[in-house]
Amino acid sequence: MEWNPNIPVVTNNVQDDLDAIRANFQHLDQSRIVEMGENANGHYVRWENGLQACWFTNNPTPNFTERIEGAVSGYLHWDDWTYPATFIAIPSVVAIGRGAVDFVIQTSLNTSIVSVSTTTAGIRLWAWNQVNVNVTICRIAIGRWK
Amino acid sequence: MLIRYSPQRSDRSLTYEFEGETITATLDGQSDVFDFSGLPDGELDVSALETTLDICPVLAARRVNGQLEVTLLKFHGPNAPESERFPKPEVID
Repeated sequence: MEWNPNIPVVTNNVQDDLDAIRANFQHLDQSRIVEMGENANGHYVRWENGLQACWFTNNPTPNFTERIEGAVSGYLHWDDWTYPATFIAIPSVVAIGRGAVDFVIQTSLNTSIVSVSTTTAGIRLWAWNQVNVNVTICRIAIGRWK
Repeated sequence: MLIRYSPQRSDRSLTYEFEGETITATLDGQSDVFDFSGLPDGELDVSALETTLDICPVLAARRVNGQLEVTLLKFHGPNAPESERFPKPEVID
């Protein structure tokens, strides 16, 4: 929410302050958090104006399998995320992963979002080498719940 | 059949009935049947599953050594108990 210079500040004058407090609360209308929660798929927050954010970080068991795409070969790990809360329309999703080969972090590893719906997102990690330990994936989805 | 539930907060209704290796999913009063009896050992590409529902509630399906394992979307409401938010797998005979 942007700062609004038209919202009055309190002055210690009772009537003025009541008006100022009312104006401040009206400015906050629709921006209140109406629900927060957690389940096995992560955390979520719902705001009164319909905004919803979901996020989840975990350490899945590495399952990188050899994959050739065009002239490039590497290793691919599939991870389909069920959001912790439903969206009413397709949300914006970002994810970033990391992983290691025998405890050497792979700087070549990259993350793609291959599908997005109102309930799930398909996430793929791609690496030049067969990552076998210390995989972490952080995901965020932002959209509307109503 | 081993069922894993993937929990999601939603105001919609989603229920399941099981018969053998057939699952009937009912979403907001509309039903669709998913028959896995012909699935061989291995992983099913669930993105290819066709459904009359507006979302596919089957998130994963595979057969391991003859046993069917299916992951299903499971809705819960606000302030749901831990058993719904962190569901344990169920074996359905």
